Amino acid sequence: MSRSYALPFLTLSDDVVGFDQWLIGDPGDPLFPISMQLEAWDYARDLQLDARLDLDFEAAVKALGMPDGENLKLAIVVNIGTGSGRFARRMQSAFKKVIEAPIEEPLIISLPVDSCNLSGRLLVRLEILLAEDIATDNPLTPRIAGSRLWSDTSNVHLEDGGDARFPMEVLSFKQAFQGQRQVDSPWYLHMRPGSPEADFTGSVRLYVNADHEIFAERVSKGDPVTLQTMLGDVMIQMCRSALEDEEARDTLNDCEEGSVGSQITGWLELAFPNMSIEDIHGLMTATPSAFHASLLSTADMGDTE
Amino acid sequence: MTGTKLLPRLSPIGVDKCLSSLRDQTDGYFQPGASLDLRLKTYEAHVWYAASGGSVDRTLVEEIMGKVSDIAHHCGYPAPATDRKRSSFDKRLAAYFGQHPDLEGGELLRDDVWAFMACVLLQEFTIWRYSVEQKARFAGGIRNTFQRLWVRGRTLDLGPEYDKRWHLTGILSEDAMVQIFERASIASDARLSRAIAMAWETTADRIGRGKMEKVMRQATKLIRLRNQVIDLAYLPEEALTAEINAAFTQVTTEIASDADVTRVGEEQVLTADSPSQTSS
Repeated sequence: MSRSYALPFLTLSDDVVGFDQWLIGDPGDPLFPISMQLEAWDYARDLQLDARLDLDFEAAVKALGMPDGENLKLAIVVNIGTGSGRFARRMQSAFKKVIEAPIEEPLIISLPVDSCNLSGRLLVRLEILLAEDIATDNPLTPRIAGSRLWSDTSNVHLEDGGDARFPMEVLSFKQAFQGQRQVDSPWYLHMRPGSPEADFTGSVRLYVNADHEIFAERVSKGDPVTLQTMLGDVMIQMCRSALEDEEARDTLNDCEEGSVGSQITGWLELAFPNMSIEDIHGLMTATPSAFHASLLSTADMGDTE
Repeated sequence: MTGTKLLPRLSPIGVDKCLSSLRDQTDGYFQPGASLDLRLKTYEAHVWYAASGGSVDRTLVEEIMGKVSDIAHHCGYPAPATDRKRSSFDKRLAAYFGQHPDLEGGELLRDDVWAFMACVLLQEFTIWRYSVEQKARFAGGIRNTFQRLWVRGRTLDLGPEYDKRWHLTGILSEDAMVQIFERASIASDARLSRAIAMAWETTADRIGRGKMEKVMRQATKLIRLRNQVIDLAYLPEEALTAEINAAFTQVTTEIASDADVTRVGEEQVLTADSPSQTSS
């Protein structure tokens, strides 16, 4: 426990409280130690937080200078916060348990976290508080319910799918595109051709057809071949669209980072190293199958497991 | 698949574009009533969405655009805004944002979502409520025109079981709102914020609204210090109310006492000055 100010009463040291760290991860999967960053998070990825807390109750009674005959009651509380900034923008109580006698086994705290309510960060504050008022003459003994006796705070930055991830959404095409040509397609790339300067995540979105259940499941699980096929097609569509448009082709190299043009340029450099835009355009026109296969090869992301 | 509705986000460069467009009256400056398509197209290089985790929802965006326009017109827009019109706009909008079922998740805690609203979607109402000069009212953050009202609505909502559900959003002075909502250690705890708002009202009824600015500033300072030692969020409703009321009572007593000392001091000075004035 570390604070930038001194509390005006006796508190509990780490010797009295046995706590190592929170474990975090996906519900039902093995959890891993919490760290400062959680990758690949989004609103749909609910989380699980687990911790073990041990408490030497007799030592706590002594440490707080409890008067004889007064029963000590301690509250174990967990508050979860979210929102960027120095302080969390929203704090909510997630766990509360009052302990009034020595515990025989460590307390297991297991908290499901609903990710749709998170934003940018996950702050987890575990505290031990005085649960009820105490009557005492000892000026150093905490007396008022809620007095903060021990705390541990974990602060996790949530990587929320900004620049690093492809804008993708799984939905039912029968509902979303009823009566349209793409209704039975396994995926559909929504983009506006001829706007290489547009922000990539704002103007491009890949829809995966939830009605193709097996395919959608493969995408969700990150099946390498499925992803390679789908993303390869996306790369082909976007690169072709830019190369076929003379005006867009001329502006590709001037596009800012994060734009559609900059993403296309990156793919072209990977697939056709040391070739100019004009040469790639020539290859696409003369041998379209080689052009397509080169981009499909570039979409190989290896085994994601 | 999650039910989270993804809203457009505006990058900081997009905010800069908006401000320079307003200043120079270039393409990013919209005529009132400009279509959503035009707004999105004009800022397409700077608007983005979460890559995954929910569904982009154009219907919700259109609904917000229409509802805020209705509220603004009800409050006198486009006639010049008076204090009364602004206050009515703020209160009605806080209630709308505060109870909308699709406007409560983590997406709404993002500054760039609100930057989009103030700069692109609801630009003319930002200008009407404030002016083109006030950057903080366009950029995302606690002073954003609409973000501040969303936070107030979400925090000060007394709940549907109350007849005067939005009472607290209408009674506090702007200074009192700032003391609560520009202090994240307070604003992050909705229950604590409501308790302070209620104590503000009780105290204002007792000593008068005109004297509340100093009282509120000192009371919130005291409460923040208290919260570092005691977890106020842990206290049951009654104990929390008692703690907050005690802070306001302590401050009003100290201020009254200081005023008494000052008045006595001034009287003594006047008394001491009197003979010399007479003798001269």
